[in-house]
Amino acid sequence: MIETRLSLGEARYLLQVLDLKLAPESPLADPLGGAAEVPAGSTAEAGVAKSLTSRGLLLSDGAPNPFAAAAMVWLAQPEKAWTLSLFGRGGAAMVHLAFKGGSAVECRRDAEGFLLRYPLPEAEAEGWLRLHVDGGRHGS
Amino acid sequence: MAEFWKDGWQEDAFGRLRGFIQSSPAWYENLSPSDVAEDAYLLGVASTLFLRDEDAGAKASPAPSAVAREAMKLAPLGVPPFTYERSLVAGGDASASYAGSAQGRFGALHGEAARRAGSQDRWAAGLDALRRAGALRAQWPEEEPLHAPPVATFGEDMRACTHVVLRRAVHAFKIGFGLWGRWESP
Repeated sequence: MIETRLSLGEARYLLQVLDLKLAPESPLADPLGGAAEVPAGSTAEAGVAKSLTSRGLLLSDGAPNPFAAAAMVWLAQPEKAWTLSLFGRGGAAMVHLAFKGGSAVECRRDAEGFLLRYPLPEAEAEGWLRLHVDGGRHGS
Repeated sequence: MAEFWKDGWQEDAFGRLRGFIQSSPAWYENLSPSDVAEDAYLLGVASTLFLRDEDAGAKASPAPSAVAREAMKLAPLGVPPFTYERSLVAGGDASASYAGSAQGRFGALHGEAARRAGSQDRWAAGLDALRRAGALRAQWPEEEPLHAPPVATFGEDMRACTHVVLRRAVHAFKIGFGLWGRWESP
């Protein structure tokens, strides 16, 4: 599986490069819906591109990595999406799961941006959701 | 005992503090010192409520067996292993995994990635970039359990212990300092 971090600016830039519009049910719609585009040719764009390249999300020719592109398609235009807030004495986590075509992408929110993990079969993601929503073996 | 007690700066300071407390907050003007003391006591008791270990006297439950512990673990978000690394090597596996993904045999997301890659070279380049960045994982990472607080480390225990010892030493010193010169031998 692939695990990678994305800051808000990087996610915005990838959406821009891939020309993806955010669907209302997208887990990215809330944090990125109102965010301004990264201006083309600016130093901000150069910084974001450099950071994405160092994490393998842009290829050496500047094109988006096909795996990252697929994950962004899942997050921007999912068939359905679930958001789960997990709380405990050990901390808290907000987990989004974006489903499409039987696969899912997990997206965790934190102060710095997103932690993406993918791909995940839909049945397993739903089993995991059910475990948390119904309480599973741990109580709530 | 009164003849052995000499007023010092402590009485003076205490008197000033008492005067301040009794005069400045309007709601304390009509309260007796015992009311204020009661308030302070209740506040003190209330402030400890969150620190109390309610299960301190309860019998500890037996530790779960290894099998039970294994069953209690959150099932990790697993995926059938898709060996990305095999796709990095030119040859049969790379071609097969790219072709399989393009045909949708490894799930819709891999299918979309293969479609966007367009060729086996770009597919392999994408995987290689992710591998170099350390983004490929052999299995889904186990989740940190949120339902229990993290266990204190040795350093944290040591610091807490030192803190208690120092606080008690300072307290003893304050008592000694307060009494210093206040008592005369009869």
